[in-house]
Amino acid sequence: MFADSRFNYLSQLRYYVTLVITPVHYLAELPGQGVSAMGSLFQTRHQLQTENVRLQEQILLQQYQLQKLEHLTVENRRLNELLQASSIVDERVVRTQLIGESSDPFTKRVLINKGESEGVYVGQPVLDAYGLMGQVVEVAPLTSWVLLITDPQSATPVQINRNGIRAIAAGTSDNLHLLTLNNMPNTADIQVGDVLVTSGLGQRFPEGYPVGVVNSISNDPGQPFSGVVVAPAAQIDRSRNLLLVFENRTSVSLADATNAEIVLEPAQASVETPAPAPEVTATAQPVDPVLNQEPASVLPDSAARAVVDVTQITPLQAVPQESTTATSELTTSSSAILSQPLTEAEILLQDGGAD
Amino acid sequence: MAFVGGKQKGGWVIVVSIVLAFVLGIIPLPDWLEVWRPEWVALVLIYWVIALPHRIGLITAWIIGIAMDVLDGSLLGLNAIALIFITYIALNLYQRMRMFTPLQQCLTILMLIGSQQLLIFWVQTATSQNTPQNLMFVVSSISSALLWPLVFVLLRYWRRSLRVL
Repeated sequence: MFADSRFNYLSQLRYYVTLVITPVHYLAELPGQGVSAMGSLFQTRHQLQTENVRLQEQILLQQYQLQKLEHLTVENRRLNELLQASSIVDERVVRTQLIGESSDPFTKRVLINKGESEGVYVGQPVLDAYGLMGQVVEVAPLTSWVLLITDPQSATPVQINRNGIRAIAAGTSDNLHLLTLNNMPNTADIQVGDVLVTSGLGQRFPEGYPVGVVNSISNDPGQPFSGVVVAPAAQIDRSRNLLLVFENRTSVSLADATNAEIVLEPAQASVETPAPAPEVTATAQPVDPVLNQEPASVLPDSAARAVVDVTQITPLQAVPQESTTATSELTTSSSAILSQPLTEAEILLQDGGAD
Repeated sequence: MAFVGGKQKGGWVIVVSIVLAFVLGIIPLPDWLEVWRPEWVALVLIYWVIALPHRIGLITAWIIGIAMDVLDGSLLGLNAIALIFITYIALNLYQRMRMFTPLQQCLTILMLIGSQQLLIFWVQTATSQNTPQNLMFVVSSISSALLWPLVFVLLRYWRRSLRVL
C-alpha cells in the first residue's frame, strides 16, 4: 500500500481516482464563491467607476514600465549573445486559479485548476503577481498540486539580489509562513531587507524571480551558521490567481562551444550539451537540493527516482559522444557541471567560506 | 452476508453524508483553526459502522480512505490504513457503543480518532514524510470528540427519517 512513497506503480491509480474525486473540491469552493458573487452583485455604480479609474491609471503606469522592459529585454539578449551564452530562456505564463488547499495543517500545498490537459508538468514553477509561489508536484487530468516554497519539504535555490551570494531558502516546520536560509555563514554579507531572487541553479525555477525579503538575522556565536529568516515575496496565503510558467529554451550558436563558455553558464550549458545530456537534464529537472536531507525524501514520487537516475549516469558516459575534440579538461569540467545540481549545497559552502 | 435476504435501502444517504464530510474536511479554514479541524470523514464513517455494521465495513473504509488520500494529496493509502484501523475497532465495539452514554461515546471517539492520528503520524514518520514537530496533531481528536454528539444526533435523525436500513 505504501508503495506510493517509494515507487511509481500507483500513480495511474491516483490519476484516475483524482478524476472522480475532483468535483468535491469544486463543491467545497461553492460557499466562498457564492459569497463573493453576492458581493459583486451588490456593488454600486460609484464603486465600479472608481475602480475603473484606478485600474486605468495602473494600466498606464504598467504600460510605461513595459516599454522600458522591452528595451531592456532586447538589450539583455544582445549582451547574452555577445557572451555566447548557451541558451536564452523564453518564458510564457498561463493564468490559473487556486481551487483548494491541503487540509493537513503541517504542509503547504495548494490545488490549481489546470492539469495535464493544459500541459502542466511536474516541476513547473508557479508564481503570483509578487513573486515565486512554488512548484507543481503532482499532475492530474484537470488539476494539479503545487508545493509552496514555505512547505518544510521545499527548498529554493536563491541568490541575494544585491551581491549575488547564493543560498538555499527552505521552508520550516516551526512557521509555515516564513523561509529560512540554510547554512548561511556568520560572516556572510547579508542584511535585513535584502531581496532574494531565484538563482536558477536548481534547474527547476527560472532565474530572477523574487522569492522574498530578509526579515531578521540572528548571529549566535555558539552556532556555526547564522539564522536568517526570510519573508516570502509572494502572497502565499492570499493569492488566488496564480501564474504557471512554461519555459521555452532556444539555443544560440552552440556549434563552436568552448570549454570556457560552458564554465561561464554552468546551469544552462548542461542543458545544451548534445546527445544524451538533454535527457539527463530532462530527468534531472526536479532537483532542489536540501542540505540535511537525502534527495529522495525531499522529492515526491517520480522526482525521487529521477535523482537516482542522474547519479547513475556518469558524466563519462555522456561526454564521449560529444564532439571528438573533447579534451580531458572538458571531460572533467563537464562532469562537474553535470553533477552540479546535486552538489549545489557544497558550492554554497565553498562560497560561504570564501566570504 | 448474513443479511442477504434483507433489503438494503438508502445507500445514497450514506454516500451523500460521506461526500459532505469530504467537503467539510477540505473547506478552507483560518490557520489557527486548521489544527482543530475535526476528522469529519472518520466521524461519519464511525457513525455508519455503529449504525449499519452489516453494510459498512473495512472495504468501504478502504475506498473512502483512498478517496481521502487523493483529495488531500497525501501518500496513497495513508488515510486508508488509518480508517481501516478505526473501522476494525468500531466493528468490534459497536454493540457496546450503542449502549454507551453520550459522554462515554465521546471518550471512545477521542480514543479512536487519537489512535488514528497517531497511526498517521507514525506512518508519516516511517516514510520520512512531512511530520509535525509537536503534539498539535492530536488536537483534532479533541474537537472530533466534542462534535461527536452533534454528528451522532444529526445522522441518526437523518437515518431514521429516511429509513436507511
